[in-house]
Amino acid sequence: MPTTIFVARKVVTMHRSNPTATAVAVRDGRVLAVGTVEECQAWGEATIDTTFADKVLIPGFVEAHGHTMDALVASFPYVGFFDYPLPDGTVAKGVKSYRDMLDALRAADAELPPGQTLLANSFDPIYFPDEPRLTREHLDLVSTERPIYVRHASGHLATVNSGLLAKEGIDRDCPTPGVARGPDGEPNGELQEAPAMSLAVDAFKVTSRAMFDPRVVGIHAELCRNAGVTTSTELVGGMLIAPQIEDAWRAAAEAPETPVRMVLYNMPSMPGSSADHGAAADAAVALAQRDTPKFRNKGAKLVLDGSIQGWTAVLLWPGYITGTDHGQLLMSPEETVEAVRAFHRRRLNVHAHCNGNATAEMFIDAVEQVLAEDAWLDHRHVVQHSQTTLPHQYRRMARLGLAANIFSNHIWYWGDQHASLTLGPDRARGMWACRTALDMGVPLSLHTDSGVTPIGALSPMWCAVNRVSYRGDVLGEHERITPYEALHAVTVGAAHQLHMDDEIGSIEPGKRADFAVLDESPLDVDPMAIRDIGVWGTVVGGVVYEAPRPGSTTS
Amino acid sequence: MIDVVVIGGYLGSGKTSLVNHLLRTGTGRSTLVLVNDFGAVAVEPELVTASDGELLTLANGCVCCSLSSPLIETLVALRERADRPELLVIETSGVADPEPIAHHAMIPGFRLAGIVVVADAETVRARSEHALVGRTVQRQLTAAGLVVLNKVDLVASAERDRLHAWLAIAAPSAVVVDAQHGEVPVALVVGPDLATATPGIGEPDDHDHPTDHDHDHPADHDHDDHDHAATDPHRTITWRAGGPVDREALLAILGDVDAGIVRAKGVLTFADRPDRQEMVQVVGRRVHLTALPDRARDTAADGRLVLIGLPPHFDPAALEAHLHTTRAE
Repeated sequence: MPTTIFVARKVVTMHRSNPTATAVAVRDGRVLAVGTVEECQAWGEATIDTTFADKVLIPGFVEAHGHTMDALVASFPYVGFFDYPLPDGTVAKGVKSYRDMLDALRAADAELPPGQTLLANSFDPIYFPDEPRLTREHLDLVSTERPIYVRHASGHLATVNSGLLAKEGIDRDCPTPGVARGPDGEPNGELQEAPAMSLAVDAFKVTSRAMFDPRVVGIHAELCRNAGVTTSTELVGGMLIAPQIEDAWRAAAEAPETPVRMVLYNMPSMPGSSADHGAAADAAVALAQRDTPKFRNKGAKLVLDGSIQGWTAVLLWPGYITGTDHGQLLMSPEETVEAVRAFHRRRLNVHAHCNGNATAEMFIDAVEQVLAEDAWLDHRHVVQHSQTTLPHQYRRMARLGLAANIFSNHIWYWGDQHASLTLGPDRARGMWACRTALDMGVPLSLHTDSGVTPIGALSPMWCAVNRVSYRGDVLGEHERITPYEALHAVTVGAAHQLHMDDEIGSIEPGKRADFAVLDESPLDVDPMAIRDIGVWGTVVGGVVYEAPRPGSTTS
Repeated sequence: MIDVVVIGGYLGSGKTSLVNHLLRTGTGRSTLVLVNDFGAVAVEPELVTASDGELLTLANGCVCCSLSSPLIETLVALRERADRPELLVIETSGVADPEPIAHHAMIPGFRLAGIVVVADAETVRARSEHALVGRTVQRQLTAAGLVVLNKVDLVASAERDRLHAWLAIAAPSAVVVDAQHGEVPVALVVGPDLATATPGIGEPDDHDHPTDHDHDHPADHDHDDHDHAATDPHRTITWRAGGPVDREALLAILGDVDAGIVRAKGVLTFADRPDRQEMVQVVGRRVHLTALPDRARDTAADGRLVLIGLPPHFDPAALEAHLHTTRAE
């Protein structure tokens, strides 16, 4: 039975009895021993691997709320505001002005064959408050001939040029709601919501969710490897809605070249429709019995509301500071209880998307009711995103055994907008209340919602520790947590919420040999430098995966 | 073009009962019913010709399944199919706002034939004031062209009257029909069938036997809802326009509360756009107009408008006379 001893400058274990070490022995893909090389050699003959001699090994990051759809962000010309990492290790540069965006579109235009529609992705108007609304007139500066389709980051809008309007016959007589018009009554190029977006038939077919396509798994796994993530959770799993895709997904995840463990929380039904939750939970139990080491099906994902920056999250009084409240409740309180009950009874935990504190309250109420009927005390149901959860709610969550997975990346990506446009500065300081959660005793994780922000744990850690916005403001210094607490959240904390902390989350004898290989320890650097730490790659089940390092950028 | 009916209503209001009633009765047209919860579909086994656990095919021309991809993608794929249905019924979830869902029926290949919202007579008022779901219930009622006030047998008649008065404000575009077990005349839900409408003023129940038009159907089939249909108080008329009509004048009649129109459907040419036909579909006081592409020109139905209403407001003779005044010179 071959044993490998990985030697490192430092091993940070997140295991209290052996917090640091200089060597890890691995056998059968699992951690055999942690300590000095000599201590590890107590297990007999071993190969000593010095690849990481000047690196820091930490437990592989566990993403407990991501989406493999991030593979598609990189598949089209990118016009998002922030830089976006690509699987080959390069970075798609963010556009900081309309001029930048038009330059990016012109570059893409020059590379496309004539006549082919130019698709661009991830434009976010919330970052351009001083610019006029993006219309066909802007895009016509790139081309009036070639159809151009710019999909917004929210997924709810697209802006198209005159060439596309003409090609698809979208004119002033178009009866479809959502075709925005200028003062002259002609379409101005903005297509709002799915029905209007679908009028751009070619572009719509390409960009509409290639839902549950297994090909995204491999690309997502490369993005994980480049960011030190060794377990990634697809939180809108489709195995219950589209069971026919299970084999292809398992094959993609189990392929030896796929450098990540995939965990799925599956939706009982398409968002916006109901399900027989008992039958769905039975199917989930059967699915979990077919788990393999790198492909794991867990409990249920419920989506209870929309987003805060889209004004579709459901908030308790006093609600949004500006902007119309479009709060969308996506499940009724009664159905939420039913769904929680069905999975809880089968000892599968439920992760509920609750951006608004009104939906957090609804979910906490549901868990309380079900728990009173059926005392599974270690359920670990999770309030996901938990962006506006209030102190009294965290207090209840602690009593009821709920965990929080907080979307801390918002502090940097949208913190300024939350302070000025959604909740106002006072309540924005209380969003992503990591300190409150920990002090109340709520188990904590931090996530990226990959596809919305780039996969990787260093940025969510940096945000939770520093609470600095893009504009440079400190947003809620009293909700800061320590680097150790943040690292715990993205390793042990995340594993706990997945009911996998017996297996992953720390470098500890008996657990899987899943490591992130870093240039520095996040516990040793200046907290403001945490997100700049270089990631060499990962080790997953003892197999080494090195990230590419081209050191260049593309746009 | 595929006619689309959206059925909404809060959890427990009786949407599923209404959908089951539609499935059992049939619509007289090939119909796809996208149900919210496939497990809740309940039809007699003898009506089922095929079932594979995810798709149910009935002898009366209805096919039933639930969504397995986003609605817009389902519709875009459906319109390209050779075996696409004539009618699509979408049952929404209990918390859905039917209005944006109805927008999906306003893309090429589809036309909106109405939004029907089921309300539970016992609980709808309390629900509409509920802290968390009240706004959802209010939005549903606002969107409705037809409110099926279900479980009316469970409230006293005075309370029923109060509900109707309240709904006149809460559901300003809707006509309200009372129901038990979700059973209402199918034509009120899906609209009259133009192909079988005969000119003139029909008998009280002559619009409610859609399965009579199904040639595969045994002639002696005993309708489950026969007794119910026979006592249906609604009346039907088919009006012939005989040429272009004045848009504003017609819309004024169709939107008039006092005309008592519950449902109408027709193919008309308006004087301001003599170059094209438009499909007119009326549900309550909501009027949906869809321009017909040239290739869909409907010569058989041209200039005909079928109207269903509830006497005494609905006075067929007076309405016909009134409609005649909309004929453009």
